[in-house]
Amino acid sequence: MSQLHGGGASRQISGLAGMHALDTRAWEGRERALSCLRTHMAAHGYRPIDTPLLEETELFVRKAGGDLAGRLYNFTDPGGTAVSLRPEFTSSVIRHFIESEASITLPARWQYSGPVFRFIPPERGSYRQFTQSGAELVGASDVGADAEIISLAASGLRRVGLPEFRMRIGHLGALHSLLDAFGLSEAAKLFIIGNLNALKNGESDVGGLMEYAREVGLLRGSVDLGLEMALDSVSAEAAEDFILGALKGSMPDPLGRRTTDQIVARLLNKVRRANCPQAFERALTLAYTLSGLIGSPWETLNSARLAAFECGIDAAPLDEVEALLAHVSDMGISDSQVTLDIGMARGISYYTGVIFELMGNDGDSADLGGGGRYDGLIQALGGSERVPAIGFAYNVDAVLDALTDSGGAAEEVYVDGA
Amino acid sequence: MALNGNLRLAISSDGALFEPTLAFLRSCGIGVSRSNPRRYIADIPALPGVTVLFQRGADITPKVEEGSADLGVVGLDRYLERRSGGGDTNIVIDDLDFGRCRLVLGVPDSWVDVVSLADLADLSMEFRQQGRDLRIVTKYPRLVERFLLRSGINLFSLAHSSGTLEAAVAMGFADMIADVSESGTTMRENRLKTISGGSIITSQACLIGNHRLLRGDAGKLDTAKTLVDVMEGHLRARAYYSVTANMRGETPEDVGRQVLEHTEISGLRGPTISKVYSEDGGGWYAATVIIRKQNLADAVNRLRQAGGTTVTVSHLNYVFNSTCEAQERLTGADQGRGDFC
Repeated sequence: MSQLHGGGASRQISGLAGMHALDTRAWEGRERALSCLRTHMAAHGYRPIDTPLLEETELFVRKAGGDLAGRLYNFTDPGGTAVSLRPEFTSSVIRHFIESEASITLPARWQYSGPVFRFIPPERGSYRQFTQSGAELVGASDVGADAEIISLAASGLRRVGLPEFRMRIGHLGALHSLLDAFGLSEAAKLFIIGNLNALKNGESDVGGLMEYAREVGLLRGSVDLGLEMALDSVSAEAAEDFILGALKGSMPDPLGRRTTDQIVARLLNKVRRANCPQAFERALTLAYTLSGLIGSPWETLNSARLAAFECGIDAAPLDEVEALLAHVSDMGISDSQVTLDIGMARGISYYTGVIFELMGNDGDSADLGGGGRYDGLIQALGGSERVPAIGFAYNVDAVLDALTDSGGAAEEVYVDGA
Repeated sequence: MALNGNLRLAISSDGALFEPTLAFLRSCGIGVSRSNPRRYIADIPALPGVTVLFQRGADITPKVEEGSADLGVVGLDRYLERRSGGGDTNIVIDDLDFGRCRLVLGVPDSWVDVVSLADLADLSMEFRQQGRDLRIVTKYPRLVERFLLRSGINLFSLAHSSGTLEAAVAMGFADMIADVSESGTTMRENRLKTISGGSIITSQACLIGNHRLLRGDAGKLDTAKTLVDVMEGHLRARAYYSVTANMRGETPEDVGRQVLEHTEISGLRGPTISKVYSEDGGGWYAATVIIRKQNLADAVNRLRQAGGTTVTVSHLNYVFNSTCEAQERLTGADQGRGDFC
């Protein structure tokens, strides 16, 4: 081995950063917690399934945001296929659903548990290999299904011995609908939602994001506006001829695999999809206000309604949030445990509706778990039609850490049986 | 030339870092003496106990990682591309002030519809709908892949090439490239352009070390400490000038007071005052201060205002602080740029 050339004695091989072994006692603690969670979810009708540790990389990147896709353990297998260790279960569960769709009666309820892998900074509670346990509810789109999953996640924590948790709820569906009022393109809305965290953390502001949006071509310039009006009034063929004619003298000869026609066709689409800067700025300003609204659920909801009113848009999309909060309250989750965070956007970009996170009660941001609605994922992964779905997963290692911190002796706290 | 027990410093035998590395070591006062240009080992006469190993630039990181060299001068881009996370190497000095370049995405200049990363994400989806991948050729697959995935571009394929990348696009082998660029000239000559947000990493030469080996060998560690002390002292000195002005005053204290009245010229610690024996009689002193290079014009004006004449300015070779930061890093874990660049 080349390692031995210069080093003298062979080095001790230590464990990889972020990976940890469990001794018997810790293993037993984890198994008890998992058993407790499995039994709890089974009692609510969630049937266990298992999925492969290794999947084709594209399964995980097809709809994932950069945050997760950039943290994959991906490599090429000996057969030449690009594969990844699973960073989460949802995509694999949905793949299973798509493959067996014909034989599945909806709504379907599944639960799973096992290790997942993410190349993240190894901090306490953020192992690179950690255990997830979770559930997916496929084929139900109503607010009752949202509340069912949230309630299942909350009651599982109580069952495992952590009654004093907190829950942060946001709603990407409502945000999307609010932004619809500004007549923006899908890309522009995703840009705004994708930058909510930057607005919230003060890393960027409306002016900075306007500049950035202009830079990446999301906004119409004054020349484009005239061009767009001209192009709108003629056929696609005539528009292409016009552009080709205009660019003929200055456009370099095509290099590589794209033809001039393909380039011009996309340029036309781009001009047509560009957004009105004024509408975009109003939407960003609203997003900026909403990103700062976080606190007790009903008060925060009212502030959000007020912000929409002041912006001159219909606040009706927030009715969905109100209905959800009422359901959650009815299911026994106290308002004092819930924080409504209107500008919340979780790292996984396939969410389309409610999103939520579970955390310890000590104000620590340690993420015990979370989930949300992802109505577009099934189609994105090759499903024949749009099927609504929602799910969540616990970070079991973080749950065990929180149990230790709360002084809960695992043997006494875990209760087997539903 | 005895290799046993010597500190082994790997440097580039080729490419853009070859000449600048030799020039840098020379400027530090530890020039390399190579008895024959074809030999791949050499020594540093001013620093006995060091063996210089000439290696291909791409091989230096693995050589230091596997322990066949203790230290290496390498481009930060190559180090981050080749290093093993959790391995035995770390960055000892992260900027040796040469070898600056950027790893950038380059697309054909005929892509008038593509000006930003957002365009690229959109285009990659369009490619996928047409049943093909956006193919990118690069020498840096690891850095490029992480960058693209984190930028929300998920649908692409990477082709690794160690040859001339620019031709790959013209040949239809790839749609675009990711490569290092110093000025962008080569890109332009090959009809490629950069895009907004398409800068993957800015890079420069850095010194890396194998902290496990150095921790285990007190002799090598001592030599390495001297080496990095000299490098760090020299790099620090590049930021400063030594400025001397002749000034009139009753006493050295009087001249010192005049200088200290202006913070711009009070130097690192304060002025050094020495008597000037002039033909026109007494009362002349030379005040010397160390000032940052960017403050030179201001400092000269202030010295004039304080009565200074005949201001002379000199380069410094070394500025040594009471401790050397790089020495600490020789045996410690990398606190600098880690796995996520």
